[in-house]
Amino acid sequence: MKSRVCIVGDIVTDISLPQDGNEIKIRLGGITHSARGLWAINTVYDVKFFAPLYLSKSIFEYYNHHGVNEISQIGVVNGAPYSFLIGSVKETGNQQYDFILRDQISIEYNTENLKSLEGHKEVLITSGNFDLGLAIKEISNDSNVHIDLSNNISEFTQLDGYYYKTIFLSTSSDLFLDNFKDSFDQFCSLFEKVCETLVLKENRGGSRIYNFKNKKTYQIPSITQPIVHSVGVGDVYNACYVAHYQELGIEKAAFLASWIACEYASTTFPDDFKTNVLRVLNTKMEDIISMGGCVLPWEKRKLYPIYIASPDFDYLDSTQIDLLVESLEYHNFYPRRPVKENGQLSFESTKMDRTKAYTKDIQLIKECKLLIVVYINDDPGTMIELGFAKALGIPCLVFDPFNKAYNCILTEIPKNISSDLDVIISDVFNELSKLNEQ
Amino acid sequence: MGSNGSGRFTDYSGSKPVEGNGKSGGSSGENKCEKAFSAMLEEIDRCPYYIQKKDVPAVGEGITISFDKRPIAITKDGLIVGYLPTKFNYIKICLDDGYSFSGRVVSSSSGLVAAVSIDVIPSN
Repeated sequence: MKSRVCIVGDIVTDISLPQDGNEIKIRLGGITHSARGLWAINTVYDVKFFAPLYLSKSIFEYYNHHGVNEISQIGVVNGAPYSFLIGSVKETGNQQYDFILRDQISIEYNTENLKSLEGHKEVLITSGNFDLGLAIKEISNDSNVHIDLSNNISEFTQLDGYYYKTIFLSTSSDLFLDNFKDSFDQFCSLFEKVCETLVLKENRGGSRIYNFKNKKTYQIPSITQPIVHSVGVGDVYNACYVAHYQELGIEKAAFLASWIACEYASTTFPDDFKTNVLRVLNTKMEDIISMGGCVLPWEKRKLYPIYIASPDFDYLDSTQIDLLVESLEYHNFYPRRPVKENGQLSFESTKMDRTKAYTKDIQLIKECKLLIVVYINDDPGTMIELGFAKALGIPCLVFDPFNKAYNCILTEIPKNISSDLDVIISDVFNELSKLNEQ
Repeated sequence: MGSNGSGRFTDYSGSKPVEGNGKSGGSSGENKCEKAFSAMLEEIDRCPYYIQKKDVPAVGEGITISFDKRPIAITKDGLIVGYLPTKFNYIKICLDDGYSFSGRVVSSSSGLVAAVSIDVIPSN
């Protein structure tokens, strides 16, 4: 008998390269992330997948061990190992994915197995290298079809001819980055003809949902805390939403999905994940909603400039400053680098030059809503800026990449101090989301 | 030159870690509800303790973690000192799973802005 929920898409191998002192970790990826989510919430599911033949046995074994009801391979992938190298698992900035030999991929469709796509109440497709139209054609008319557009969909024309129950996409997708013009309403209108509900996942800043039927917008917070990885977290969100939206309604299903996605990001161990998910499921929904979380929409992040206090001089290694700034920009924040913006002084600088630079820097601090120290050395300007911002009531963080800070003023003034960029990025979201609430 | 390999898929539920590979297996053996933590409390000047006493609790004062729409720290006489930051929302699911949390104030000040930091340990 077919399950109510069926997930459809690519199954790949995720290879998290050694980083942050952790060893290499190899897991099945693609729709397997959604599958782990469904397994953890005890929802029986079916799977229709595309993968290379060499992976098929491992896939069947793995899924049979993790709650699948019916599984079939609807396409064989040739030409590439279907492996993702992941250079940055935490998505503090760009995840540095490399999909090995992606341009060589070709797919042999199994026409017999494709027919098994019919007969499910809820079908969750994660777009990929396969022909979407071919898969859609086989799905029953009375199925609710949900799709995540994060992969391989960069044009609206690719969605023509079908009306989806839900479209999921994230702020890191091409479709979002190419079409979002600082207005959620305007962005939603682009999807009016192709779906009933649009879910925009905004990384650690929460998610926004628009339902075209009741014309309602839902703002769902994220549970932003330091994470172990971010790979497949959005896929878990999708699966949990699809499993629950009929029973709980859009808002509650999305709250639950957000919590369960957060649990997925906090571990790569399936049993740890399931233990924590069961705890979430045992907590009252009203308590989950009352706790709220981090809400910081994409377009609002630039409204809160961030002062980067650091020895950002051209004669010093600025790698750590660059890393922080790139990560902030990846998340659409607005980091301000005073030395780069207001100029670098030298021994030859005149009194007038110094006064001018000082005045501009102080003015810039006053304009910023958060200050982050990058602690590279005991640069007096950096330390004074930290104290000045604190006295002005501007929240401060210290990124201490080399774990060198021990002075009590330096460690106690900021809201947080960490050598882990992920902790700093999470705190940026949490601190600035408080301003967004006001 | 020989080559290393990364074995097999090991993240099976219930599977034991492979010897010498600390990242494999179904479980890490860690339980986040059993971890001690430190936190800077939030919204202190809007909470009953500060409103009633016009002060922050002294260093060393005992607190327990409870819940009132968000995880909170309360004194022995039941006054709310402050809210735990959002990243500690998971404490609620631990409380509901039978864990309790208690600790002490490790720093406090009512100067520029009221501030209280706590160290907390779990018990079950």
